[in-house]
Amino acid sequence: MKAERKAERKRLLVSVILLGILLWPVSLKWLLRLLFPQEQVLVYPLKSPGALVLEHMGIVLLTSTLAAVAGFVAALLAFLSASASMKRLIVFSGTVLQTIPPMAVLALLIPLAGFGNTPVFWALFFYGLLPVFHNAYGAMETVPQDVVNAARGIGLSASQIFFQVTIPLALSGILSGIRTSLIINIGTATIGATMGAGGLGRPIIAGISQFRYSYLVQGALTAAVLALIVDGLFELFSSKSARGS
Amino acid sequence: MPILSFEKVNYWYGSQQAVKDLSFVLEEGEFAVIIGPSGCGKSTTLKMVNRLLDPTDGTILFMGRPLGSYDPVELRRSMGYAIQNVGLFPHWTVFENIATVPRLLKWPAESIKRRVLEILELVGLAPATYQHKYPAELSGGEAQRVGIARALAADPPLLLMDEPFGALDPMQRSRHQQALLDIQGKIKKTILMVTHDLDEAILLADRILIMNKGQLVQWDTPEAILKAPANAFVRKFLGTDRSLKRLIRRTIGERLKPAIPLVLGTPGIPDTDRSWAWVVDQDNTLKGWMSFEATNHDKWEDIISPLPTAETAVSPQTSLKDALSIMLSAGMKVLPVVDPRGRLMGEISMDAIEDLIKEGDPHEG
Repeated sequence: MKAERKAERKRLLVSVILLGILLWPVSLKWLLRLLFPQEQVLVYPLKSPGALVLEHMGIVLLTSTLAAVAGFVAALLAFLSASASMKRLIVFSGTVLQTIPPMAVLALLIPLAGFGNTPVFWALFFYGLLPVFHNAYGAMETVPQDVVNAARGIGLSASQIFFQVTIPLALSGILSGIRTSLIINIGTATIGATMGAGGLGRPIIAGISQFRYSYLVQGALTAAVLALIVDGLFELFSSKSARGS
Repeated sequence: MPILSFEKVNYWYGSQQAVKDLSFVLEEGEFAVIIGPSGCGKSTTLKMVNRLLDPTDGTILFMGRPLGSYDPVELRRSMGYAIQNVGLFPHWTVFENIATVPRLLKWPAESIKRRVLEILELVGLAPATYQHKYPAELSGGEAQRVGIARALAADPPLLLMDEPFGALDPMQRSRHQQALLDIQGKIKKTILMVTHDLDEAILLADRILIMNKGQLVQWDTPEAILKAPANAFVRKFLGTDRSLKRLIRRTIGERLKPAIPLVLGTPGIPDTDRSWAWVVDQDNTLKGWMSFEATNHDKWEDIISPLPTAETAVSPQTSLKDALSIMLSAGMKVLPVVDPRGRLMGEISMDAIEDLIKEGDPHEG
């Protein structure tokens, strides 16, 4: 348990150092030179590495936060709605929607929202929503019935059961949904550049179209390291809060 | 004052009548067990007591007041409730689980602490070892004890138990039944329990309420029911081994006879008309038995036969039914009775048990 925690901290530290290297133009250039000794212009020139990360994380955090709230509320409504057929419908539609690929969602959104940040915002919101909803709903539904029955039988009121039993027991599931949603969005947000949105997708698209693989690697590597850091932070937090359950 | 009384209570699940004209009165300090085949309405009856279900018609009085006049949540806090799968809160420690109802009742922290430690002691769990554990760290039996401790924490006037030992294996079950009897001996609660295990009902109950198809069939002491079943249904429900079942509530201690053992290191054969004797050492610790026919050996160790298994040395608290089954499986007609430290107290013989069965039981257990 303790050794695991230590290993998690170590992984997180390595990811943060890597991000530092990718953010500082001097070290970034040095790293890319190592990987691509032939290329002349190595670092994506139109925006600083730091500005790209800020742009990227800005759109990810905005969409994921809204998605987490909306997903949780939807899960709550599904959980509290009395009829079983209603629950089935909600869960089924969630599953179906998740199978649509992100590019298709973007393509479908263009006629509605045009190019730029708006369709990307909606696509990311939509993508972030489903894992939160699924995990939160599943976690609330799988709180052991015996525990809920016992809580009712010994005299907890409905709201006490919800806040003191259901939510704490579903918390790790709810958090893992938010975590999945964030990580998916860090990756998916790079596709946004094809729609003209900002972020780490820009050097990737530029790299592909101009055959400058160092741009591509800069964007992809930075996005990957960001995902690792977010994941590491969640791991640290959830292993701290997980106890007994 | 009766703690609980049912007056012509009916309960309908849609068009199905689960409980029919049920009337009974539960007196203070009484351990009552409701039993019957599945679907007889026993669980429905229990659920009506703490208002998990409300009767379709009829009156239930708790402490002299109609149940409908209590707020359901407040009512449940004044009744202990223990269920089959315990349902401990997995995210809370043993201490926090037991403290649930006192906390809901807003007891001061100091009294909660005192009470939790006291009740842990009562159910036989060392507070220092257990209070900070989480339910996942407990065995099934320990979790069951914590469940009972939680139910008793606020010292409720009535304890409801819904098949509390149903999920335990037979060995654990009998240990916990005994433990519950010990606890009940100390606290004298009014308990209403539902079970489908007839032996459990006979062992634990002061009075058994037998239900069939939603109706009360017989409501009497285990002895009276075993001796005089009310009708053909009860006779069939009790089975053909009614006289054997009477042995459940009787302990070896009642029929313990002194034994004349052979004491190691003491010369001479004990004065007995048998051809064998139990063997004990100077401290009266049981070592086995020996036959007087085999005397051409040099060393004591060669002629002392060990007991077939450790279980064949029984304690005075063992029920006569268990004693009989040990005799049958070990092929012994007499069992040595020992104290917890293994010292010989006497013996119990199959003849003594047979005599008791033949007596037709004038004795109140």
